[in-house]
Amino acid sequence: MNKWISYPLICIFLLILAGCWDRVEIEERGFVIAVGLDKAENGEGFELTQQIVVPGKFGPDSASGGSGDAYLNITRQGETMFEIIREVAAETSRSPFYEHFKLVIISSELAEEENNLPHILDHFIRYHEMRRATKVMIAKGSAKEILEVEPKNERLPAIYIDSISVNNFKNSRMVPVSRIGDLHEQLLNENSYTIQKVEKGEETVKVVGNAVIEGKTNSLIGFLEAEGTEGMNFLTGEIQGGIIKTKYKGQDIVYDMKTTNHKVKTIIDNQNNVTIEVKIQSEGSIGEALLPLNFEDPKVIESIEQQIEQEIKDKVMNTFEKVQEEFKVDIFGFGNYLEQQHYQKWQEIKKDWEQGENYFSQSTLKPKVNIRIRRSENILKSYK
Amino acid sequence: MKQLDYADEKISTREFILGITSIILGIGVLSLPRNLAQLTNSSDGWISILIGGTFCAAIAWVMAKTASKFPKQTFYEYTSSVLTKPVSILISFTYIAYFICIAAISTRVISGISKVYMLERTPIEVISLFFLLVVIYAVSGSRIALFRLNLMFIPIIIFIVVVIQVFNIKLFDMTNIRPMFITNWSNILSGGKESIFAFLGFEIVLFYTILMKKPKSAAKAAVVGVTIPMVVYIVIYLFAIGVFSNIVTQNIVYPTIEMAKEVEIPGQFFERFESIFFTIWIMTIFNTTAMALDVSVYGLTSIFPKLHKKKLVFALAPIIYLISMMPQDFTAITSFSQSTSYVGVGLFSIPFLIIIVSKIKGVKGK
Repeated sequence: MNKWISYPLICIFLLILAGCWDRVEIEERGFVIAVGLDKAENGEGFELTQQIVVPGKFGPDSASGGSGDAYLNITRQGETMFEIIREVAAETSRSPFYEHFKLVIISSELAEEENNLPHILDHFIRYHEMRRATKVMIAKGSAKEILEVEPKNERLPAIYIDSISVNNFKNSRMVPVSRIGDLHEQLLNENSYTIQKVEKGEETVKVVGNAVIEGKTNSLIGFLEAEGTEGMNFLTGEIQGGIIKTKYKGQDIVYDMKTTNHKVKTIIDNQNNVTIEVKIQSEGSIGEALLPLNFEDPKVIESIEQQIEQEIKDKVMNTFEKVQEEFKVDIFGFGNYLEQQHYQKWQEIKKDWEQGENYFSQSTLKPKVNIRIRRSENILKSYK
Repeated sequence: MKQLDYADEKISTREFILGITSIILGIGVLSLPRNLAQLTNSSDGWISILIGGTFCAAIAWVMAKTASKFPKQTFYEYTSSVLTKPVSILISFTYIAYFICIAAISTRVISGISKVYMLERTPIEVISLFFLLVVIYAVSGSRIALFRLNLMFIPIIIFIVVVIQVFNIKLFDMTNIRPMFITNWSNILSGGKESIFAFLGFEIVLFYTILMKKPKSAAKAAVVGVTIPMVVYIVIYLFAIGVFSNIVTQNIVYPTIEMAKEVEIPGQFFERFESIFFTIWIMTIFNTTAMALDVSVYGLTSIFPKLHKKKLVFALAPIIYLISMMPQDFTAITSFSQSTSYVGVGLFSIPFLIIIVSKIKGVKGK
């Protein structure tokens, strides 16, 4: 090619190819990491609080020269999520950017109303900036207040809540995280399900207990508090660790679960009576014993094991009966096991599982617990 | 543009296999899990993929056998020796139009996806244009070079597929996979039809067998070339069901992309893994488009040997661009690619026609 043509051409290409149509500088982005949803004051629509990170406020105070919060909470009201979010874009210097979005907190007041949950979640599942790993929590009380908590060891309230919500391997009462993707599945299946509950303490927030959501109306029908949650975790196999306290000869002994295993078998007879056998196996150690015991004696170990097994059975039965009586919905997902194990039969009784006849609340639970104490940790006895 | 010269203008069996794999892997698999989940229950869609894939492998085998009977002749030459010239021109032009449509649909879909997930404010026309410019550059070079490019890209593509599945194991839920074998046969079969659409493109064996060093191995190679994407599809499908469950897969527009978005690399150092997936999948679709355009060019040059290849590329590219810009929305694209697929399935009859007529007429290849 003629160099009189080619050189200018190269220069032009250099100019246009170096650009980017969609460039948004990082300083111009408002990274939204969490939203809180409350009922709007006038009673119609939603009140959305967006927590936006202010990156300049990160790092040592002297370096960035700024003191104050590393985040910004912006609250607006409206009918749909998208509308409110875009409205905020017109008001702030940083347009909301959701690629690093972590958490949706919905107030219990909103969740109680029929179909509010799917209405709220639709945008957060649908929009392309969102990801299915976003967590959802139900706040007992106001969601906005939860996002205003001032954590001692974190700069951002949302990150603080996000990280305590995943500590369930240390605490058997902690509910497994509710990913928005999993909720999408529950909504489509019209299953009943639970969502992590978050509650404001005096200075901290607590993520304990479950919010029970009824699948047909998608509304909050109550809370399963910490004790119930533990039993539920045993039934769903979501338990990842934690401790069981039991009495032995009138004194407390604490068992530390290291591994747990869980199997569900469902039996259904011709009268549509459902029996659910849940096998729970766990191995662990003694983390604390308030009485001197001879841990070298297999008989002692065995009787402690039986004691713990009974303890777990009681917890499981209590939760199951409570849910059967109080909520009458299958939050344990036993329906899925029925579908897998008795597909034809399930098609017949599916409609009457939670509604109508409500076979769920008539079903019987048979827990089988098997505990193995492997160690007594570092010592045998701490005193004579 | 200076062209690299290769010692011989022939392709090895391996290049032939991966050429078929490259043109098959493309936009089909992005939505295949959804289409299958809508038709089948639980995880049974994999049977449909197996049926569709086996069927396509069989057709590919027949096509390669037919083509390798005439090892020294182009598609146009051997069809006209068997079916007379006018018929042959008609068939060739149908194939050329069909491959042009495949190129156009691929261009359109990948531009649409790029726009939604990455280049929000860039007009789709601009994205398509730049994508096509790169395709033109690839096709106007040596045909052998294009085959070698496939050879280079396929391992990367397989690698990213494996990585996505591995990082999704944590989310994989066996309860979504069971119960198995509960879908009735008619639904499994219509799922099979749906998966055939995701295998289309392997008809290039009719045109490219002549380029092979060993045309005798063409039939076997064609089967292998179809089997590789079949395995990829089954793995992706089962993982999509395992991760999302059947009902959610039904409602996600591109489940395969969504799986890439689900990847969370531990350590919180890497977020947005899907950007890597997009980069690599654009390569995949680039391969599909480039091969489709190249086949059309090859088909035309064999009918009109006097036409210059580069001129043809530059003449066809605007047509592809215009066709790709025609559908206005998601449903229009879907129905356009559906009708193209039906044409492709209809063209499955061509090799059988050639075999039967050549048997009757007693035409023998050399």
